[in-house]
Amino acid sequence: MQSHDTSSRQADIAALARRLYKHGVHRASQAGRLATCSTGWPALDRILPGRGYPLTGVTEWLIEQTGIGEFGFLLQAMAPRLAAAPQTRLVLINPPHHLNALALEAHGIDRARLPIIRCERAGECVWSVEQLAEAGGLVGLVLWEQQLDSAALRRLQLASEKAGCPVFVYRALAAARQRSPAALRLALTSRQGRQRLEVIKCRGPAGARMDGLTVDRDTPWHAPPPITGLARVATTPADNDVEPPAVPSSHDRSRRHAGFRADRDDPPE
Amino acid sequence: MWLALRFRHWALDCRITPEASDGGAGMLVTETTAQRQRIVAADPVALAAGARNGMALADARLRLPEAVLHERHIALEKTAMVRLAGWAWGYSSQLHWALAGGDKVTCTHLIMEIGASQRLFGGRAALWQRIETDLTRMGYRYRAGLGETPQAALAFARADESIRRRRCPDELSIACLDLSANVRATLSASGLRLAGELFALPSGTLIHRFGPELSAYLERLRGQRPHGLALFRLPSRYNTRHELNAAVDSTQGLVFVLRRVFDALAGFLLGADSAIQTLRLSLIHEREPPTRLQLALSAPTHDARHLEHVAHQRLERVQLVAPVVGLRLVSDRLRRSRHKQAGFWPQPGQDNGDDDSWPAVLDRLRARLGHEAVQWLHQIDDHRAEHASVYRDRPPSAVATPSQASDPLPRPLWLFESPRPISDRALTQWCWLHGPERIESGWWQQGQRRDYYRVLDTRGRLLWVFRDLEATDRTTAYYYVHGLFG
Repeated sequence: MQSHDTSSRQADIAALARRLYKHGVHRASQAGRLATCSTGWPALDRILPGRGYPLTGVTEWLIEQTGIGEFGFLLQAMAPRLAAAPQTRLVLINPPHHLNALALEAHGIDRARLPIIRCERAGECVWSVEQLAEAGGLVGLVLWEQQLDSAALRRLQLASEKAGCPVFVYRALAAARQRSPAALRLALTSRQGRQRLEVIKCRGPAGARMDGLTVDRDTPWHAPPPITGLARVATTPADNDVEPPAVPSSHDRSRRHAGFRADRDDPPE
Repeated sequence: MWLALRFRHWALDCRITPEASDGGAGMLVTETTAQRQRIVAADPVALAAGARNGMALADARLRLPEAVLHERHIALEKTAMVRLAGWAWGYSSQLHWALAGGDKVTCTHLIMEIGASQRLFGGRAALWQRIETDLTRMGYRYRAGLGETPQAALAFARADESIRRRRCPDELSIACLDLSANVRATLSASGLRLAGELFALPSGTLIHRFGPELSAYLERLRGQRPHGLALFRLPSRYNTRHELNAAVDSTQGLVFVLRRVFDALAGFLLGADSAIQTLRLSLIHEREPPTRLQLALSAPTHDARHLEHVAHQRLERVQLVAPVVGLRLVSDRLRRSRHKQAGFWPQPGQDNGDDDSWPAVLDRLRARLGHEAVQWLHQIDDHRAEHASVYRDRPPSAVATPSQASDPLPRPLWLFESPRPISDRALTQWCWLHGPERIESGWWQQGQRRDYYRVLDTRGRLLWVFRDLEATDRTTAYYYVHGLFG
C-alpha cells in the first residue's frame, strides 16, 4: 500500500517538474546535467549530482590518512572503465607507498595500462597532468599531492576538461578548510572499520553524507548491505548550504549533525 | 636522367656557424699538401674579398688578414656527406658521392638518378623545386647540372648557364670535363675546345695518344658504357658528427645549433624513411671529456622534432662543464618507419585510443623528470610480498588473465618499503580481524617465516601486520606493519 502511495506521489512530482520546467524553473538537484561516470557504489551514485564522478573535472578526496580504503573505493569505478576501453590508461602520480601487484590484480586492473609517475615538486605534477591530458586516451588520472594551491587545481581542472577524463586528487583532510575550485570534494574518514563519506562540495546540493565501506573478518573493505534510510537521504533535495539533508524521522537529528560519527546508528535491515 | 650537385665550399658548409658568432672577418678552410697550405673553401665574405679555392694561404692572408682559419677535416666532411646522401635517398635510390681530394676528384659532388622519381613528385620542375628548397634550407652552396649520364650531369654542373640549359654534350667546353690537368693542357694545345670535337676523333687514335682512360670516360659521358660508379648504400645507423665554427658556452646558445643538427637528422630520417629509438648525443668540449646524453624513446620515431624536444628537456637539466665545440650523434639501428594506414571506412571509436601520442608524451615526461620517473608494476612469482611486485621502466608484457583463484586472501594495496616495527602498547589496543596466515619462503636467500594478520588500528586504518617467527632474541621486534589496505 505504501509503495503504491510513493509511486503515485513520485509521478505527481514528475508531472509538476515538467510543468515548472516549461516555465523555466529547474530543480536545484538537476542543475547543470553533468557528464559523469558511475562510482561503482550505488549508494554514492545516488547522493552525487549526475550520479557519479564528474567526467570533466577534478574530484578531490580529502582523507584522514592513508589506509582507510580510499584507493580501493576509487578503483571500483576505474577498473570497469579501464576494462571497457582496451587502448586507455589509468595514470597514477606520486602514490604514497609501494603498490602491490597482487591487490591490483584482485581489483581486475591491467597493470600494463597503469603507468606510475613520480614527480618531485607539485609544479611537475601539474605539468605532467597537462602533458598527459594533451595525449589523451586516459580513463583517469590519480594524483597524491598535498601542496596544491587553487591556481594549480584550476590548471588540473582545465587539463581534465581537455583530456575528457576525471582527475582525482588525494589530499589530507586538513585541506578541507581551504577553498578549492574542484568540481567535487569528498571527505573520507574512518572509525573502527567504518568509513564515513561526506560530500563537501559538488555542483548542486552539497552536504550529503553516507556510510562508506566497512571491514570484517573475511574481506578488507566492502559495501555494507543497503539501507533504505540512506536512499532517502540521497533522493531528498536539499539546499546548497552546509545544512545536512532532511533526515528520516526515525533518526535523531541532532546526532546526525555531529560531523563524522564514530559508528553507524542506522538500524540494519 | 641524372642530377649532379657540386659543392665547391663543402669543407666550410658542412660546419655549423653558431648564431651569435660574427663572421664579418671572413672564414677560410685550408688544407696542407706537400707542406703548402692552400684554401679549399671560403665563405661569401672571403670570396668577396678575392679569396679563391686553390689559392695559397699566404695570398689569401694578404687579402683577408683577419680571417678565421680552420683546418680541413676529411672525416667531418664525410659524415656530412652521408647525412646529405641520406636526405637524397628520399629522391633517388641510385646515388654516388665523392669528396674533393687528390687529382681524381676536383670538387665534392653528389650525383643522383632522378628520372625514376619524376612522376612520383609531379614532374621534373616540381621535383627540382623540392630539392632546391631543401638545399637552401640546409644552407649549402651548390651548383646543379642535369644530364643523361652521371658524367654528363657532372660536366653540365660546371658549364655555363646557357650551355646547361641546352643540355647538348657536344657543346660542353673541354674545361668542364673530368680530365687530368696534363691531358686537358695537351688537348687545348692541339686546338680542341669543345667536347663535340673530341667525340668526332677516332677512338683508336685517342687510346693511342692518351691511354684507355680518356676514351672510356668519353664513352661513359655519352652513355655508351656503364657509368661504373660506386653507389651509396644506406648505413645501418645514424652516426654523425657536427663541428661548430665557434664555441658555444651556454645551453641557450645550443638551441640554434640543435635546430641545425636535428634538421639534418630530420632530412636523413625522412629521406631514408627510417625510425630510431635511441640517440646518443655527445657534446664535445675542447679539453674536458664529452658530455653524453642518452635519449631513449619509448617507441621508434621518425619525427626529429620530437627528438629535438626531448633533447631540449634533457639539456635543461645539464650543466655545461666547458664550451661546446662539436656534437656527435649516434643512433641505434635504423628501422623501417611504419606508416599509419587509415582504414577505407572510418571506424568509430578508433580515435580515442590515440596510440601515437602516448610514446611522445612518455618521452617528454621522462626527459624532464628522468628516465625512472615513469614506471610500471611487474609481478614476480614469489610468495614473499616484498619480492612479488617490482617497478620496471616498461609495461609488463601481456598480463596474464587475472588469476584471482590463486590467492584467495585479500592483499593490501599499499606496501611499506621496509616493514615498520610495532610497539607493544599499540598491539594491545588494536582490533585483530583475521589471521594468522603463514607465509614461509625464500630459504635460498634470506628465508622468512611470518604469520600475517589483518588488523584495524585505533586511527581507523586497516593494516597488514606480521609476526616474525624468525626473531628469537629479545633485541628485535616481533611484530611489524607491512602494508595498508588503501
